[in-house]
Amino acid sequence: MINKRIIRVLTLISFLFVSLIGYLTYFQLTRGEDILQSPYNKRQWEYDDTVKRGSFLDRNGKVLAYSQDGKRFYSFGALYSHVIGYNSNIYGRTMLEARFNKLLLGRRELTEVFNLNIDSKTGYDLTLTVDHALQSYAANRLGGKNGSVVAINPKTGEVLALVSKPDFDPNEDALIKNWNDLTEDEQSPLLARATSGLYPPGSTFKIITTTAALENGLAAETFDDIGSVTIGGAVFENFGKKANGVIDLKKAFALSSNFAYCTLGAKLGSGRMGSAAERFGFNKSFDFDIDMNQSKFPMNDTDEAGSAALAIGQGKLLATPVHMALAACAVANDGVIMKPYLVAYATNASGGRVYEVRQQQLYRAMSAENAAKIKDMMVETVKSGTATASVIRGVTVAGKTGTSENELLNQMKDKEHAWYVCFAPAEDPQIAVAVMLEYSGGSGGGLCAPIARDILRQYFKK
Amino acid sequence: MFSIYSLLATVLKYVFITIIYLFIFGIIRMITLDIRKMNAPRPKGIAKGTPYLQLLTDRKSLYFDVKQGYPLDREVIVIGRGSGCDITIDDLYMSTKHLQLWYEEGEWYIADLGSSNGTFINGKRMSDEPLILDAGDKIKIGQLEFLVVV
Amino acid sequence: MKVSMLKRPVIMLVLVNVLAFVLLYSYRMPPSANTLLIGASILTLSAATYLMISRNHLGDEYLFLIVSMLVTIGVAMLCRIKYALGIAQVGWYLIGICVFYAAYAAMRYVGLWRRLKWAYAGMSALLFAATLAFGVTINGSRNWIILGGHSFQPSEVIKILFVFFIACCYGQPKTERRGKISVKYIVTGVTYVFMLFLIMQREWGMTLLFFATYLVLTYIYENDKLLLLGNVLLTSVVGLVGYHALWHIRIRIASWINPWADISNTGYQITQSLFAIASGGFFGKGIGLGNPEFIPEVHSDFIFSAICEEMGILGGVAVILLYFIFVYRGVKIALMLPEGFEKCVAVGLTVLFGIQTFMILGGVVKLIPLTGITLPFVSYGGSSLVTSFVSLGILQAISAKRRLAGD
Repeated sequence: MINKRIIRVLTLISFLFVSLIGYLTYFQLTRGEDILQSPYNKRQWEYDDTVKRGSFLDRNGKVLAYSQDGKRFYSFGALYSHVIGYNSNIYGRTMLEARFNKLLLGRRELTEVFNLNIDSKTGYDLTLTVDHALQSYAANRLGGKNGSVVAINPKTGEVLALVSKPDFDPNEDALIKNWNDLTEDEQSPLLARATSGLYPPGSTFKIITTTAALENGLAAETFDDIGSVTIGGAVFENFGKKANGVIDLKKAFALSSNFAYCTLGAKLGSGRMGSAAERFGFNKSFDFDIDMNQSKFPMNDTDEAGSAALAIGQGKLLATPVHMALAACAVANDGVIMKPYLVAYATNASGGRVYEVRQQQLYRAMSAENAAKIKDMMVETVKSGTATASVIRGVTVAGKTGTSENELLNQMKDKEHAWYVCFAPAEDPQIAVAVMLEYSGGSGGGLCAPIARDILRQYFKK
Repeated sequence: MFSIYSLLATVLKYVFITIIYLFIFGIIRMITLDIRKMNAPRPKGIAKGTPYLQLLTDRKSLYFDVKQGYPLDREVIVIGRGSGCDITIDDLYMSTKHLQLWYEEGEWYIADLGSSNGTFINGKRMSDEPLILDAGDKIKIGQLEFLVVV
Repeated sequence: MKVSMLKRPVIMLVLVNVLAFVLLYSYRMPPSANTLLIGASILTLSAATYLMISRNHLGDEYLFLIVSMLVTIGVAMLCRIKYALGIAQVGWYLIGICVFYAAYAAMRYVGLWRRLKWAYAGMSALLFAATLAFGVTINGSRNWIILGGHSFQPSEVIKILFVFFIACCYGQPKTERRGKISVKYIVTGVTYVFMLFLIMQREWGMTLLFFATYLVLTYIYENDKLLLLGNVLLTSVVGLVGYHALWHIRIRIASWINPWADISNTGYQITQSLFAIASGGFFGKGIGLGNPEFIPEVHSDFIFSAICEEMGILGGVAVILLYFIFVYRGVKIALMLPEGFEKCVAVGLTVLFGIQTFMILGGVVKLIPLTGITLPFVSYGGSSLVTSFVSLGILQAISAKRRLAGD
C-alpha cells in the first residue's frame, strides 16, 4: 500500500518535470521571438551594435531608410512612418522594421535554428514594391487631410503606394522630442489608417453586394427608384434623396442607388451577402507584411432592415482601406485577389538575393464572368455615374464611390467618410487605387475621385 | 582570435548536447535493462504467489541443463551439483552442496555452505554469515545468476 | 559485455568534462592552466568516487554518476560566468565528496539513527534559534550564519534533520507506536513550528518546500485525507492572509503574473532570465557566446537560465532529465526497501530533492512564482552543495545496506 502511494508520488513528480519540459518548449516556440524583440532585452542591442542594419529601398533602388554609426535614419521623414515604421532603442520597433528584423540584421531562418551568429556583420537590404514617386505624390495630394491612399498592382499584389495620414517623423531624435504629443494627440498619428483603421465602407461595398446579386440570379432586376425606401421600419435614402426613375442593376450601380441596393439587400439577406463578403476576405486575416486589422461583416444581423443597411456598406460593417483596394483588385483581376506584399526581396552586401517573395493567389472572390460584368458597371460609373470626376483622357477608368455614415454623424453634421476605389486601364488593369478620407463630410465622388484621378495620371505619366 | 573561439564554441555546443544526451540514454538503457530482467515473465510450472529463483544467464550458452526458474516451495532448499540436493545443477564451477536457502519468520535466508567458488549477492561475495534475501537480489553461483522473485 | 555497458556513460562524463574545460581554457584570456586543473580535479574526484562505488558495490551506481554530470555542468558554467566562483565550487565539491563518504559510513555502520527523533527536532530548533539570534540578512532573507569567515545557511541542514525526524515518526511500525498522541499530529505540529521559523526568516521557498515534503510523506504513510485537506485549507487561508498582509509575497505573485509591468524593478530578474532563455533557442549560443551576466544572481538561483542561454533548451531539457532520473532512482531504492525508517528517509530525501528542483526551475522559467532556493548540485554555494552531498551519501548508504541475518 505504501509502495503504491510512493509510485503515485513519483507519477506526480514526473508530471511536474514533464510540464517543465513542455513549458520550456512551448515558451521557446511561441513567446521566444517576441521576448527577444523586447526593447528591454539588452542582448538585442548588444548584437545589433555589432551589425550594420540593412537599408530599405523603393522598387527603383531609392534609399528610404538606412543605418549609420548605429543610428537609424529615415530619408523622407514621415512619408514611410506607416510602412517602414521605426527602429528605436527606446520605443522598440514597428511595422516592417519589426517584421523583417531578422533579415535586416542579416539572420536567416536556417542560421536561426542552429543559432549561428558567427556570420556576416552587415544586414540584408530590403527592396520594397513601393514606387517612391507615387508614394510621395499621393501623400502630397492628400495634404493635411486625414485618410489613406492604397495603390496595388491587381495582377501581382505588389503594393505601389501605402499612405496613411496623419503621420509622424520616425527618426529617433524626433520620436524622443515628440513622443508625448504623439501618444496623446486626439488625431492618433500613430494609427496606420490604411492597415489598422476600420471604417464602414459605404457604397464601395456595393461591389460585393452586386457579386452576391449576380450569383443569386438577381442580375435582371429592375427598380422604380423614388429616392427613398422603407424596409423593416427603417428609411433608406439616396444620396441627396435623388429619384432615379426606372433603372436596371447596371444603372443602379453607376448611380449608387440606395433604393435599389437596399431592396436587393433585403431580398438577399445577410447570409448570402456574408458568404460573398467572406470570399472577399471579410472576417478573415492573412499574413500581410504589416499587421492588419480584420475587416468585419456581421453574419448574425439577420433582419430585413439590417440586411438592407449592410447592402450599402453601413450597419456594423467595417473595412480597412487596404481591404477595399483588394475588392477593386478582385474585379480588375478576373475575380482573383493576389496576395498583397510590400517587401519584394532581400539582398546581401554583394547583391545576391537571400529572400524573395513568391506571388500567390490569396482569395478567389468571384467568377471571371461576374468580374467582367461588375467591371462594366464600374466603367459606366466613371463614364456617366457618380465618379465622372475621375475621367482621364486616353485611359478607361473603372471605379466605385462611397460615402459612409459613422458614429459621429449623430452629433455633428458633415462628418461622413468619403471613399473611392478604382482601377485602370479597364481593358488591361495595371493599378488599383483606394482613397479614403475620414470624417471629411464630403462625398466619395466629389472629394476622393479627383485625388484618385491625379494619382492614376501620375502613375501613367512615366 | 575571438572568431576562432566562436567557431569552436559553436561547433562544440552540438557536441556537448549530443554527449549529454548519449549519457542520459546510456543510463536510461542500463536502468531499463535492469527492469526488464526483473520483470521477466514467470517461468512455466511455478504457481502464482510462490517465490522463486529466476535464471538471468542465457541458457543457450550453457552446456548443461538448467531450468528458467526454480520455485521456493519448501522450508529448506539446498542447491548444488550433488544429486542429493533439492535443486541439482551440473555446473562444474559449483560445489556438491553449494548453498542453502531457508524460510524463517517471514524471511528467506541464504547461507553459503563453504563452497569453493563462493556465492555472490548483488556482485559481492558473501561471507560465512547468513543473509536475509530481498526481492530483486541477484545470486551468482558458478556460471549462473539468479534473481530472487518474492 | 556487462562491464563495457556500464562504462559507457562514464566515458560520456569524461568527454563532457574534457571538452568543456578545454573550451573554457581557450575562452579565458590569457589562457590559464588553472582552468585545466579545475577540470582535472573534478574529473579525478568524480571518477575515483564512481570507481569506488562500482568496484566495491557500495550500492546504486547511477545516483553518483548523475550527480557528477550535474556538478560538471555546474562548475563549467560557473567558471564561464565568474571564474573565482568556479574555483571555489571545486573546493566545495572536494568537501562535498568527503562528507559524502562520511555520511555514507555513518548511515551504513551506525544503527541508532532511528532512535534520535527528538534530537533532530532539538537540533533544528537550536539552529533556528541561532539563525534568529546571530543571523545576517542576505538578499532579503535573514537566513545566514557567519562561521569563521564563511556564511552558511542553517535551513539547508535542517532540511535533512526534518526528513530524519519525520522518518523516525512514520518509519516506526504501527504496532510499536506508543504514546497518547498519534504521530501524525506530532509531525504536523513540528512541521508548523518549523514553517513559522522559516517565515520569520523570510525563507518563502524553504517554507513551501518543508510543507510540500510534509504533505507528501503524510500522504504516503498516513493517508489521512481529512488531515491533508485540513492542512491545505489552513495554508490556503494563511496564504491568502499573507498575500494581503505581506508586501513580499504580493510582489512575488505580481512579478510572476506580469513581470513586464514593473520591468525595471520587481520584474527585472525574471525578465532577464526569460531573455536569456529565449536568446538561447534550441541549441544555445555556445559557451561563452551569450550574456548570462545580465541576470542578477545568475550563479546561484538563476544558473539554469545561463545553461539555457548557452546550451539551449535542449541543454536545459537534458539537465531536467538528469534530475528526473535521479528522482526515479531514489524512488526505486525506496521501493525496494522493506517498510521502516530507512525507506522513509529515502522517500523523504528524494521527494525533497525533486520538489526543490521543480520549484527553482519552474520559477526561473516563470511556470510558477519565483521562490529563492538553490538548484541542488549545480548552483554555487557551499551550504547547498555540501548538504546535497550529505543527502546523497545517505541515499547511497541506504541503497547499499544489506541486512545481516543477526541484525
